[in-house]
Amino acid sequence: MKHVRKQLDHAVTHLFLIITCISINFPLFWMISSSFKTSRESIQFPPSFLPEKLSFGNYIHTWSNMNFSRYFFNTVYVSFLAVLIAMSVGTIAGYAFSRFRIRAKRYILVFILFFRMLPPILFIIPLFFILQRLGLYNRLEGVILSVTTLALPFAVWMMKNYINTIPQEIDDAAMIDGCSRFTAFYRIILPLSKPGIVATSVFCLLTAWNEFMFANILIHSESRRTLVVALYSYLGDFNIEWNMLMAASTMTMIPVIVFFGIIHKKLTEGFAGSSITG
Amino acid sequence: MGKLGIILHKKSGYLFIAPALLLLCTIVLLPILFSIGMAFFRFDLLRISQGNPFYGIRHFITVLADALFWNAFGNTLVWTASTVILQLLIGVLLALLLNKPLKGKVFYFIALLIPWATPSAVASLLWRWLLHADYGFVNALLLNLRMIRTPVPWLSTPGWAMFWVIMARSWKEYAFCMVMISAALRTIPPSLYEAAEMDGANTTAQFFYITLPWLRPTIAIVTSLLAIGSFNCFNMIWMMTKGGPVRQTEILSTFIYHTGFEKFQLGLASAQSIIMVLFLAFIIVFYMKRMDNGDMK
Repeated sequence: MKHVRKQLDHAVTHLFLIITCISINFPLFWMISSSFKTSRESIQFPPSFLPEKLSFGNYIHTWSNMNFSRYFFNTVYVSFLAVLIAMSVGTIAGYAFSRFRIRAKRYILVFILFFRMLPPILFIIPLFFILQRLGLYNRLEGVILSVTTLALPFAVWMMKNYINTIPQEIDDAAMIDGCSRFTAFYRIILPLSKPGIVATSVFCLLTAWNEFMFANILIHSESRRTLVVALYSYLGDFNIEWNMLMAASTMTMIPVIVFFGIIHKKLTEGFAGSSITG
Repeated sequence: MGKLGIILHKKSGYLFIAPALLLLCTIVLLPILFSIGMAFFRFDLLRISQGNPFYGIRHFITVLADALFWNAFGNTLVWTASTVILQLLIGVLLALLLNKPLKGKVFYFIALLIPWATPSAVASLLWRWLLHADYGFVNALLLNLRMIRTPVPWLSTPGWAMFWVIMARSWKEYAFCMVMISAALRTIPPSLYEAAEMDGANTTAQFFYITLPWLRPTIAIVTSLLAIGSFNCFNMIWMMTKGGPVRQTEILSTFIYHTGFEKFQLGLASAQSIIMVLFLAFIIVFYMKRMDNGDMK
């Protein structure tokens, strides 16, 4: 009896989860479906569920005629450099917080975290002037610096926590063997932290790829827009067609899904092994 | 090793954290200090040619007397509370369901993470398209179900706009809560449940006496993180409604954006953002107090 009840309970849960997964992902299905529709089909009401025929016309048009490729490479440039800087600066800071005696360490760590919690609107106006003074307004390098700072607190904390899991004895042994602090870090700790570095980088990459406010305010020229800013500004264009916009959205999302694929193991860690026991 | 070498060796910890602190100080701390300074001057870009007189606390008084500021504040509270509660409900429910020994639950888990991976710009556009007055899917669906008689322009209808931005944000963000609660659920020792079962506690009792108390610290931290996120949120509201219609979805961050980047009253905008951060400080202090002391090591 109890066995039957448990099976029934599982069947109901499965059913519920399947329905939830489908309905929660429906908006994204709609985005992809719309992105393949012709302009005429996308403004027909009631809308068709699936496009009449699968055509990549919208994608090709957006990529080549709506400057999308340009925005795409701008975003790659910004994200790549921002992650590179945030991770190198963050990893050595994380190492120092994990291994060195630093006065007021606790306060510095809280201070770093506190920065991440402040609304960007608080400091974006003066930042605008500072970057202008430095000649970085309307340059992607200005966006890179700002985005780096958004990702940095996270990188420091994650890397500190990761390096904490590597036993101190490993450094000690390396230094007894004649390594300096720096070579111990470079030769021993860095290779051991690789999984932590990969996961943290992807998180930072997601932050950079999706960042809107800085990229919107600090860039003036159309040709220097990043993807999300471009997506938003397409809306201001009176001739915008939603099927094109959905194609652009889908293309913006593809790299994000790839990044997510890389870290999904990290996210599903809490699930390790559970699929087999089920 | 010379004397200098020893000092360098001992102090190299500071050397290692210096670049991170330097970056944070120039890009965040310095502007914040400037912002505080600006709040005490008129700093109106449209009148900057007439000078930039010292204003004292006049901006702060203006802000506190501004009904539109309080309207934005009230909306921020509604927005924050609703999105946090919705995300918690969905996140905890799904985490509990996924905690059951189900076959292939990793696939559900990954499928449920996808909205979280969606960039906020994409999510905003997507929801605008779904809610489109003339060609939107939501209108088609509700017409079909005979729940509405004519298509509704949801995002420009007062009363509905706030509802839909809350839905869109919760849709995009609930997975964070799900991930955190799932991880916490995995740490509950099975022996607790076994002991409870022996004592004859049923599933409901087990939930209220074991699961919920165990989750409480995680829920507290997740709640404050979600609250900070929603309180500071700008992108989704800006891209979906720009704070409209008739300021119904105007929250503090979009309100300050209007003051600073559309009216160019930078001094006033600084004063507004300082007051906003004072409100936010309550949530941040709550969070910091609950953070595990072990995290500081």
